[in-house]
Amino acid sequence: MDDSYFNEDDIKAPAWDSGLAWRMWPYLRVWRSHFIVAVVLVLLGTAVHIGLPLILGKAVDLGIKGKDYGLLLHYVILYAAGHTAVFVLSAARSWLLQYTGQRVLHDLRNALFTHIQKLPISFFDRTPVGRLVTRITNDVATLAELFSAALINVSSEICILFGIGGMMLALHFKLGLAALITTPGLFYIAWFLKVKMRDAFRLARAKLATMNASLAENVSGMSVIHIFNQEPAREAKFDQMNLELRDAELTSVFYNSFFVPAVTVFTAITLTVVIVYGGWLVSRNEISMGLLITFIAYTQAFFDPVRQISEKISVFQSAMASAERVFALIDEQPEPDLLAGEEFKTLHEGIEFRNLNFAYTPDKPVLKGLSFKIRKGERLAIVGHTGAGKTTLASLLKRFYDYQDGDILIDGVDLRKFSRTSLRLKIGLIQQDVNIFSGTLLENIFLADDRFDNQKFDNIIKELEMESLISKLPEGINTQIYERGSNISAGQRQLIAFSRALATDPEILILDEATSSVDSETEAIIQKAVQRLTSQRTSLIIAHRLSTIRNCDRILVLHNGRLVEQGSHEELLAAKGHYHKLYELQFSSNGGN
Amino acid sequence: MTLQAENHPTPQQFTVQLLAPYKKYLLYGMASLIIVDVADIMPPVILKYAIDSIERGQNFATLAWCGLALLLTAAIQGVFRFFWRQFFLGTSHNSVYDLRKALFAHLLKLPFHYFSRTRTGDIMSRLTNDIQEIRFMLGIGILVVLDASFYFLTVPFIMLWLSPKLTLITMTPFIMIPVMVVMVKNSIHNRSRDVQARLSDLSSRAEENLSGVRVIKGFRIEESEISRFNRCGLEFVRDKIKLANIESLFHPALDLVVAFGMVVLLYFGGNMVIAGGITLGSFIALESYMLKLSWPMMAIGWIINIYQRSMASMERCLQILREPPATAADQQQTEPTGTGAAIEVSDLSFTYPEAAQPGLKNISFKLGEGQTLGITGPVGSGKSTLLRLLMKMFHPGSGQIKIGNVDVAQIPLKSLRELFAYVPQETFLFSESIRENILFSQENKDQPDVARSFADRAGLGSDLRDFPDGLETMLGERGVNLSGGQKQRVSLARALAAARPILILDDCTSAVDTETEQKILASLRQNARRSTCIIVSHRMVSLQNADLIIYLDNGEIAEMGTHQQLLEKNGRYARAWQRQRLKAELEKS
Ligand SMILES: Nc1ncnc2c1ncn2[C@@H]1O[C@H](COP(=O)(O)OP(=O)(O)OP(=O)(O)O)[C@@H](O)[C@H]1O
Ligand SMILES: Nc1ncnc2c1ncn2[C@@H]1O[C@H](COP(=O)(O)OP(=O)(O)OP(=O)(O)O)[C@@H](O)[C@H]1O
Ligand SMILES: [Mg+2]
Ligand SMILES: [Mg+2]
Repeated sequence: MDDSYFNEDDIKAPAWDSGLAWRMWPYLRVWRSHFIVAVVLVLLGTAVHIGLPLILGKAVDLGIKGKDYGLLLHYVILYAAGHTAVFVLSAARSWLLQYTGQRVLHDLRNALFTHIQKLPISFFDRTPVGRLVTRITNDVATLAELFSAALINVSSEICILFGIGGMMLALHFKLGLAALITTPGLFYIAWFLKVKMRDAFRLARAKLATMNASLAENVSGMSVIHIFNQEPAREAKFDQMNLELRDAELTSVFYNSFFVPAVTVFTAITLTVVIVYGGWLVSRNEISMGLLITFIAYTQAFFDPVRQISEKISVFQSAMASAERVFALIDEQPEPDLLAGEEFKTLHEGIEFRNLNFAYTPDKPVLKGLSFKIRKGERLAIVGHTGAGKTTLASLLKRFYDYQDGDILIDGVDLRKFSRTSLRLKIGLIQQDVNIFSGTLLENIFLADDRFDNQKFDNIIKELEMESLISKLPEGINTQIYERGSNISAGQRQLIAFSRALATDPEILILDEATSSVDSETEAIIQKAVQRLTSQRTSLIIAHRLSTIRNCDRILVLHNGRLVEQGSHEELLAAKGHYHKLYELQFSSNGGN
Repeated sequence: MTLQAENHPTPQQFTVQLLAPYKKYLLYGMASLIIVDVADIMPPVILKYAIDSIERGQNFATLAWCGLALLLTAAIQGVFRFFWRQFFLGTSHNSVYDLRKALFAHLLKLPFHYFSRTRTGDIMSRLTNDIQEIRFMLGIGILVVLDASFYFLTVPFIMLWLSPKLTLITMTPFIMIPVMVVMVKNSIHNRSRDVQARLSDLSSRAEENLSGVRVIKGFRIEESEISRFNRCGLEFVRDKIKLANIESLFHPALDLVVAFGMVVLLYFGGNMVIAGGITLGSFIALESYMLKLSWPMMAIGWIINIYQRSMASMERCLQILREPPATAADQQQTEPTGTGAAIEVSDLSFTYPEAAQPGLKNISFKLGEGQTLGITGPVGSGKSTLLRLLMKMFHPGSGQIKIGNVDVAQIPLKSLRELFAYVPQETFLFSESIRENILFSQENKDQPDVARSFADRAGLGSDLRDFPDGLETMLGERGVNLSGGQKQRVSLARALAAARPILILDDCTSAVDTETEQKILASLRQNARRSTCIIVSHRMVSLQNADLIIYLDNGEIAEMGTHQQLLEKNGRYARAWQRQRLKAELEKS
């Protein structure tokens, strides 16, 4: 498993909590007024909370011990009012925190998603989808728990802690000091376990992403698994990841289990100190019995938030582990501004490739010193062996990747001077790998709601003679197509991809094996349609089937990233080179009879 | 581990099943919990003695003993609190591990159709987000239930022992609790179910968007995708807030009930102390016990919340487990007695679930062992559908398919699939090395030479030499770092390496050039002497040597025969052939 593409890249950033907290600030800032209200509610709640034992102590001292029924009733009413106030305040606080927490989470999730949309294709080449989905959903949710539950609650608890601590010191400095003497030890333990827990959570988050990515892949490739009867092998592989996830989680449980016991022991130590020392003070009449009772109540009240905080430490640590991952993704370098640069409107002269070199990975050049021109209005065909670099060429024109060396010039201007948006919109590419989304036919053709155009839709359907396709679908054009178009045939998917490109009115049309999965009758229809719809346009047709390119003005033969031949069909046949060989194979040999 | 949902257990029953293997740990956990709780109810009593002794102005030794007793109870608590967490939380992680395992194992059994209509993101969400909710219940949830019930079963009695009258008065506000619980129970369940469904939507949206990123970028629809995602997110937030509305009232309300108990206690208890009915120590102890009850009270709210949420999630996991597996249709588990790979299809008809029109109508043909069948026909004519039926990815509506003279309905799915090697029309590769992909069906994946020989036969040899890492090249998801043709050939090599009696190629050379295609076909022809072969293609030349060619149109066999016969028939096949030939002629002239 060590070499798997799914293994999460370790995030080893020093990950200062304060640094991460600082990075979350922008998302919190938007909701700061909500948070301020929440904090006010928390402070009020804390004040009342701290006041309650005081009332209780007074009630005991003055009411009960003073045998004053009236005064007792007076304190009882105060006590009831205090509790009611706590109810109102905590309901309001709880709602507000949930609300604000969800909003912060929503903003963060959107920010993450938006950022991911801006990342370059090369990022997606190396990152499994499942891992990204895990970050967008699970990691962000874990982080959100910090805002909705932990952050403010812990700060309220810290307030209570300080309030009670201060109160104890104020009421009786020595007894207060004695009560607080053990706290540093507790902090030390907390700090030690925190580090351990963070490591465990990091591992667990990474394993979750790995498992999720593998799950997504297995689900997508289920039919292949079935056909090759590989269920047991896949199950074993998944089990491995599942186990690793469980073990990572168990490690975090192990460290987590130390906290609360530690708090229990410290509570008892402190309580003992208070009773023994306080009892001694009472016996020497230095303090009243009521004060001792107040102190006992405070000691218990003091360790309650300590326990709450220690329960939250695991939330904090897992949130931090998630935050690291979320922000690592936000730190990924996005593509430069898609709108920056000149707008590409129309092609006047043509496109020129000049000595273009490109490699996906440094050790394997794909395009090697490629030079050629496409004139405006020309239909240029590119043929060549599989893996020759044809799709790559199309991707470069769409600026999916940046080329290292050489130039692509549009009307003599460097391609890189134009904005990516205009290039991507004006260069229509029908990709070799068709991707259909779940949704209706209309949605799949126009992709974005604001581009829907029924007129155009009817036109495309007519031109491509897709009526028969539509009539076969149970609900016509409103039929829901499933994820990846799994309920339509491969050729039908290709037709949809085709209509998609036509719907954008591209200036330059690139067909990358756009008719590879359709029969020749349909292909003829498509060709006619393309001819009509793009008669004035420039087109680049990549195809293996030579019949597909027979109407092209010029043919380039690409071999191993180099241009080996170019010319018209006749010229190339006469030259008796690569093209001639391909041609012979396809048409003359009758399949090697 | 046999977690199954065939007899339709309820979420509750299933939870019990899930926990059953860990009974032992739960018992240990429960024992630890009782020890902890017993130790935990001691301190107020100790406190009572301490205070009463201070009141009476007794000597210091009693105080010291009380302190020691406190420390002892704390030490016991400390140790066992550690164990209780280990046992309960550990069990929860173990149980969800089992659940995830069972879910995945079940997914592996589900039929083709399930995956075509189910969104990947939805499945992912159920296996992570829903399982998370369930884990919460199984871990902290159970712990808290037991803990709270312990307090409910003990503390009131101690209080009764301290002062029956006062305790009864104090407890009156507690009548409110069952009323409140009944009020919120269902709404938490339903709202939580909605939240989980929204979460599934979010993750599906993200999953689909990211898988189609080249289209998204190519058509510059990032903004529209972002706003769609945003809408999904807002719906999620809306439902989540609906849930929060209940939760944020419910929990403080429970606290309030306890608080009123304390108010009542203070008033009546205070009066009783003044009147001399009870000691001040007892009063303080009662007050402490009331405080102790406030935690289990809070716990009730929490448990009800977590319980309802987890049951909603469990239901969603059970939905997967209840899907009938593909093998459910196996009529018998005995191996077929027939031999060979001859195929006979008679009067086969089929309609996709939810489809308007039949996908296949009255298909009949015979193919001898070792023969090659070619299938061609227009887009959407049912070619891939026919292949799917042969491999029993769907069940025929009517008619019969026989392989080796046995009705496929009689052949258990697993043995049936041992007969086929398949190159699907849409290539799917795993993100593993090329070697592992080629040797996908092999036990031993560590045979580079074998992998290489199959790669060569699939015409992939020369490409591999160009890759710096050769066979060990790691593929990205779905093989993104290969060219279209390379992917197709890896898929072909994978099928060849499986070496099964029937080889099915669904348009498997659509993305390769003619030269490579010819090489592949030649190597297949060699291979075909051993296996029965079914080739679907739009390129007529690939089919012309087949023993039988079927021209499908609209789900029906329009024409059938050998290449020669079909040409003589001068029908649609001949016309299609001519069209491809004609081009050649035209181009030659
Ligand atoms: N994203 C990528 N990362 C790394 N290498 C890649 C990537 N995409 C393609 N390649 C490699 O670059 C080379 C050219 O691929 P390209 O897809 O351009 O070929 P092609 O000419 O379109 O082939 P085909 O006819 O098979 O579609 C191939 O060797 C391929 O393995
Ligand atoms: N899962 C499905 N659910 C419903 N209808 C389907 C499903 N899969 C395919 N169809 C429909 O059944 C018909 C036949 O599809 P099939 O995939 O068999 O076509 P094909 O002959 O293989 O076409 P192509 O040449 O495009 O691959 C099509 O009209 C298609 O829309
Ligand atoms: Mg390509
Ligand atoms: Mg098909």
